[in-house]
Amino acid sequence: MPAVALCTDAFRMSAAAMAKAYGFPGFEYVVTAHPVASLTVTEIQGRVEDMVPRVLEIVGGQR
Amino acid sequence: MTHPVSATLDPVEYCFERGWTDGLPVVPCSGAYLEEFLARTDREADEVVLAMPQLNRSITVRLAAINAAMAGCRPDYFPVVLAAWDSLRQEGYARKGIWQSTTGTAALLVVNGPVRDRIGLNSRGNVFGPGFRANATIGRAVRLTALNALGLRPGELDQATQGTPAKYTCCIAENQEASPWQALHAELGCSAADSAVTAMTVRSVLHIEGRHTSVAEQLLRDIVDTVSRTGALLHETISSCVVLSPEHAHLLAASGWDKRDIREFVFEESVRSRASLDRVGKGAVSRKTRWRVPIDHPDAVIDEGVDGDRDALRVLTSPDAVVVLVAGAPNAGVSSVVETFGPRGSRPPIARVEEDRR
Repeated sequence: MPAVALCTDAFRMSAAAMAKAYGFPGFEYVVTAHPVASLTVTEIQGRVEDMVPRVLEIVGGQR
Repeated sequence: MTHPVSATLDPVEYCFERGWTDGLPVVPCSGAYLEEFLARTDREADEVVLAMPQLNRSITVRLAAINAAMAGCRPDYFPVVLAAWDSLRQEGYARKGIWQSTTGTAALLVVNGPVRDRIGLNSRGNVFGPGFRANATIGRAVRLTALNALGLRPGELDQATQGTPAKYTCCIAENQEASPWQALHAELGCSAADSAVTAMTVRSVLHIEGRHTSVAEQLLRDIVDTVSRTGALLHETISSCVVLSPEHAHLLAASGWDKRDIREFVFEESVRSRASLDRVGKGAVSRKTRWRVPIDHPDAVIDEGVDGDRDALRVLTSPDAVVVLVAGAPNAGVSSVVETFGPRGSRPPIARVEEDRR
């Protein structure tokens, strides 16, 4: 099943380091603004709507 | 991978240039010096002491030895360092990625048995502080290995928000000679003649100023207030290592308390009211993550309290979530609570120190 990783911008360096550790430098993932843990449901829904086009782009392999 | 030729001939500065350090100077490790460490164990140099499958990386006996040397250990400390890795492997938190987490934990190493005197491990005054090579460098070897062998560098694979000073080093010996009770390693099934290391993943070491009372229950309730503080509660429950000073240990023993009684009392008394948790926005738990959340959070569920009392919430799962040991000088009523990341019901992982081959 195709999957796309999501992370907040505070974890970009860690995400890149993990991708490199696994031998996939340049691995693509979706980034959203930090933090998310304290957002309301409405705010979370807004984030999801913002990220969906980018998720579909990565799944579809389109640039 | 190629590296630029160093501009300096100073081996210590060279190690800094290459990033092989925790920020303090390291001892450059030659091949001959490495052999002195490897000669202290029967294990093969390629044997894995801790695997990190999530990173595709492993710590071998050789990597553990190189970094122990760089941390400033003497070769005769190496069996203790290996026991520390054995205990950390059994404990399991490091393998689950906790050393990379935002919480920023460290490894507390507790050493028991005759090896303490043999290599000069401090169990007395300033036990968590500086001044003793064995404590300083054995504790340091753990995180230095994580940095150099696993690549757990800040901002990269180590995502700690603030970390803790204990990440530099945190190795103590139990003051068995000043303890009125059975030593930790004996309690956990070793013989008194064994030497052993018990590793615990920890957040913070917190002081208890308890010079005010000779009433056992008052002293223990003062300790419980710190054990059950709201700031420690990310999840529903926590766990704790209570490091009693000799004065406090003897005060309790004189009133007839043993370690088991203390653990049970701390468990029973570590209860918070729902209102006190609600005041800080931790009045409920998330249905999915079981993290504490505000009562009006969309995933919030009201967790079960003590014996069906929804207003009295335990912060410990059992008396076994509390480890009790004795360390420090016999000069004041000062103890500490070490906030541990487990056990939450199972006993701590203890690893025997192998006989030094020399």
